[in-house]
Amino acid sequence: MNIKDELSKISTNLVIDEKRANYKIIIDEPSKLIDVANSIKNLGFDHVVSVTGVDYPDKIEVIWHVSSYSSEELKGIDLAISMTVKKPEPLKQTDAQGNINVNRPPVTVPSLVSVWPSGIFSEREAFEMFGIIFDGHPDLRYLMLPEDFYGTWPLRKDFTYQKPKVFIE
Amino acid sequence: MGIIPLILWLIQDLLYIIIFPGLVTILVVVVIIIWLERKIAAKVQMRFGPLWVSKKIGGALQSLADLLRYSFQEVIIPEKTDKWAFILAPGLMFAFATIALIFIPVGPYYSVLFPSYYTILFSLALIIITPIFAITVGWASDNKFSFIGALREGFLLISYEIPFLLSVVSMVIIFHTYDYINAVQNQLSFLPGIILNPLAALTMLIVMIRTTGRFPFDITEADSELVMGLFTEYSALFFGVGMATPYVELYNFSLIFSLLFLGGWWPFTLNVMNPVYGLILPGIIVVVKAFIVMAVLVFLRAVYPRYRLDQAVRSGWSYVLLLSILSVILSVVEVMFLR
Amino acid sequence: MSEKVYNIDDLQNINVEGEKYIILQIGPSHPGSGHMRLKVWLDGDIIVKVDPDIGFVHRTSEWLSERREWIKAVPIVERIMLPDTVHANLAYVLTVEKLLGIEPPPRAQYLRSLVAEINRITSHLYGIGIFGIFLGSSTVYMWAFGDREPFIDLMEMLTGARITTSYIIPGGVRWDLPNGFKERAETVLQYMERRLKDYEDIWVKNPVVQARTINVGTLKKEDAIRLGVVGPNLRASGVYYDTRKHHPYAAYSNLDFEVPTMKNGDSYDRLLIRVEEIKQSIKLIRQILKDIPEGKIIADQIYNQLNPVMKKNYEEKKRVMFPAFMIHMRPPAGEASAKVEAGRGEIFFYIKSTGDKYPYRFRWVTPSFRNLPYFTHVTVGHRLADLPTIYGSIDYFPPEADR
Repeated sequence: MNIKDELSKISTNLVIDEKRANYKIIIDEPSKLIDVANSIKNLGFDHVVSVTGVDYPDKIEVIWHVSSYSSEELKGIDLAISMTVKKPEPLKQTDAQGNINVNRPPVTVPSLVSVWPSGIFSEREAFEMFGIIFDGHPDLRYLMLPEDFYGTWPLRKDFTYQKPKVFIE
Repeated sequence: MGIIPLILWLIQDLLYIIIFPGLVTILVVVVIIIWLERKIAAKVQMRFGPLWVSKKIGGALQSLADLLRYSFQEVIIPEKTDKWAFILAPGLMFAFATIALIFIPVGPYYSVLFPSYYTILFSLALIIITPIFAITVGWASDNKFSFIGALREGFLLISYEIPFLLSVVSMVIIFHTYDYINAVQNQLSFLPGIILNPLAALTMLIVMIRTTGRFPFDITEADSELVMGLFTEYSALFFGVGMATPYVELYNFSLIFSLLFLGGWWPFTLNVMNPVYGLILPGIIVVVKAFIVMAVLVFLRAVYPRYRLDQAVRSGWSYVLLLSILSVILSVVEVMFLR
Repeated sequence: MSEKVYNIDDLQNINVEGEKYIILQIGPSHPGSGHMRLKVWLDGDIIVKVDPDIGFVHRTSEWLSERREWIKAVPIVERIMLPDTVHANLAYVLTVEKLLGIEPPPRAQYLRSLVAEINRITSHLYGIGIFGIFLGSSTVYMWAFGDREPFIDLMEMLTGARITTSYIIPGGVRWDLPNGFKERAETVLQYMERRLKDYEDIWVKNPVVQARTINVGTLKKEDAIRLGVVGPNLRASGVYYDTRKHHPYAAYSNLDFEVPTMKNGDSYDRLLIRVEEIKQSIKLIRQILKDIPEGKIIADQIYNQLNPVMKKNYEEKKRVMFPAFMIHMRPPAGEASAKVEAGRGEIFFYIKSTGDKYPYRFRWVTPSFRNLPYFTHVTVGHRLADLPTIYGSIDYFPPEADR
C-alpha cells in the first residue's frame, strides 16, 4: 500500500513534507469533512492524537492529528486533517461604565467524535481554548477552564487577560 | 462480710478496671503497639518511623504526643450532623470496648463486681455491641463517605459475626465451660487450645483482623476510596478516640485469644488467692501473650494491601463460615473421643 | 465483574437523574483523587457513570510558551511532567530540531536515550508506588519511591539536576558522561534487579493484589485502539505499538530492545507491563553504556556559534554553554510534529513557526490526557473500590493531563 497514493485518492489537497514525514490533508468545504474522515478511517487511521486550532487574524484552522495502532504500515505516519473556517466579526459593545467589551463569537465545525471517539476530550479542549463549536459532539462542555471563561477563548491571539474587577462577592 | 473487706474489695476492683489490666494498661499497650506498628512498617519500608518525639527511646512517645495534639485541637461539629449521636457515638464505642474488659480475667483470682460462670458470654455480648456505634457514627456524620463506610461496616459485621461466635462456641464445647478461668485451667491440665482446635484459632485470628480493621481488611476506612471512612467528619479528641477504639478492641480480642488458645497464664500454674500470685504475675503473662498476638497482627500492614468489600463479604460467608463450622465439628468429635 | 466497555452513545443514554443514585464528588481534595475531581454516580456499590473534571492544575503551558523565546519553553514543559521531565524536554527539542533542520551527533543521541531510559525507570517506579498506596500497601509506595532515588542520583550525576534537568537542547545535550558514571550505573542497575525480585514477592505475586486487580478494569484490544489510549496501558491491552520502535528518535533505531505486550488488558497486566518495561530499560541502559560512540555531544551548527571561552569550556569540562544563538533562535516558517514515548505513554508535539522569535502555535498532548477515557469507559460497571485500582493502574498524573 502506498500511503501517498491512497491519501491523494481521498483528497486532492494533500501536502506532504518529505523531510519531516508530515502528511496534511486540507479540507476546503466543511460538508466534505466527515466523508473524508470516514475514508481516512477506513484506510486504517484509527485514533485521534490531538485536536487543536491555530488562530489567524481572520480565520481559525482546526487540525485533527490522526494516527494508527492497528495497521503496521501506518504506525509511523502522522496525518493531519486541517480545515480552515472564517472568524465572524467581533462585536464591540460599550457598557454603562464606558468599557468596551469585545464579544468574539465562536466558530462552528463538524465534530469527528462519531468517526473517532478518541477525540472526545481533545475536542472539548479545543472548544474552550479557541471557541470552536464542534457540531455533533455528544458532550460539549468545558473541560479545564471554569464556565465563566465562556467567550474569552484564551488561546486566540487577541486574548487579553482581564483582572477580575470584584474579588469578593 | 464486714464493711472493711467490702471496701477493700471495691478498691481492688476499681484498681482492676483503672490500672491493671484496665485503662492505664490499655493506654500503655496501645501506645506501645502503635509505636511498634509504625516502627515495624518503617523497618520493612526502608525508613525510620517515628523519631522526633523522644529521640533517645526511638520515638516511643510519639503516640502520646499525638494524643495530646488531638486533645487540644478545635472540636468541629458540622451543621447538618445528628448532634447527640455525633458526639456520643465515639465515646460509647470506646466505652463498650473498654467495659468488655471487666469480663475478661487475666488471672485465676478474679473477682470484679460479679464473679460469674458466664464471663465468655458476657464479654462476647459487650464486644458485639461496639460495631453498632460504629454504624451510628457513620449515620450521624451526614457525609456520603462516612455513610458508605457505615454500610461497609454493617456488611462486614454481619458476615463475620457468626464465624466469630462459632469459633468461641467450639472452644466452649471443648472446655465444657462458659468461664475463662475454667477454660484456662482446663488447658493447663491438658493442652493449649490452639493445638486442640487449630481451626477455631485460625477463624478467630481472621475475625480479629477483620473486626479491628487491620490489613488486609482495612475496608471501612479505606483512605483512597473513602477519605477516612467512618471518621471523615471528626476532629480533635473524638477522632483520637475513634482511632484508638480499634486498638482497644484488638487488645480485648488478643486477651481472649491468649486465654482461649494460648493457655492463658501458662506456664504459671499456682492457684493462690493473692493479688500478686493471683492477678499480677499471671496477668503480666497474659498481657505479654496478647501483646505478641497484636504485634503479629499489626505486622500484616506491611505485607498486604486491602481486599474489596464484596471479596471480604464473600469469603466471610464461604471460607470463614465453613472453617468455623468445621471447627465446631472438630470440637464435637474431640469431645466424643477424648472424654 | 462486568467487563463491558461502554460506547460513547451508551454513556450518553444512561439516565442518572433522580434519587436512585448516590453522587460522590471524589476530589479535588481527596486522598484517592489527585488534583482532579471525579464525579461518580453510584447504584449501591456499582459505578453507573464517572465524569472526570480535570483542570485544577491547568498551568497554561501552551499560552506561556507562545509568548516566550523558543528555548524558554524547555523548563515550562518539564515542569508540567515532573516524573517524566526528560521526555517532555526531548519531545519539545525534537520538534524544534525538525524545524531548524539540525541533526545531533551520534554521541548526543545515545546520551539522550540514556537519560530517557533512566527517567523511564523512575517514572514507572513512581507509577507502581502510587498504585501501591491506592490499594493500601504503604510498603510498595515507600519502596518504589525509595528506589527511585538511586536513578535520580544517576541523573544528577549526569545532568547536574535531580528532576528538572533541562539536559537536552536543540542540537545535542549539555553535559558529557562524567568519569565513573558507567561503574556507578552498573551498581545501580544490579541493585534494581535485586529489588525487582522483592517487588515480585511482596507485590506482584501477592494474593490480595491479584484478587484486587485481575479482571478489574479490562480494556480489550479493539476498545483500546478505538479510545486511543497510549503507552504501557495500550500495550497491556495487547497492541504492539511503541513510539521508540515506530517513530524512532534519539538512538533507538540502533538499539536492540523488545516491546513487551500483554493479553488481557486488566489492571494486573498494566502492573506487569511496567515491571517488564523496567527490565527492558535496564537492558537498554547497559547496551547504551556499552555501545556509546565517541565524538561531539553538540551539532556542528551549534558548536560553531560558541565563543572562544565557551569552546575552551567545552573542550576542558565537556560542558556546552548556551550560545547567544539559543535565545535569538528563529526557526524557519513551517510546522513540525514529533512523538516521544514517555514513561506514561506518547507525548505529541505540534509546533507552528512563522519565523518569528516566539512559536506561533505551540500544541502538545500528554499521555495522561489521552488516558482519560479509562475513567469514563472502563470504570463503569465496577465497584466503587475498583475506582482507585483502575486509577492507580493507568498511572494517571493530573498535572500532566492538565498541562
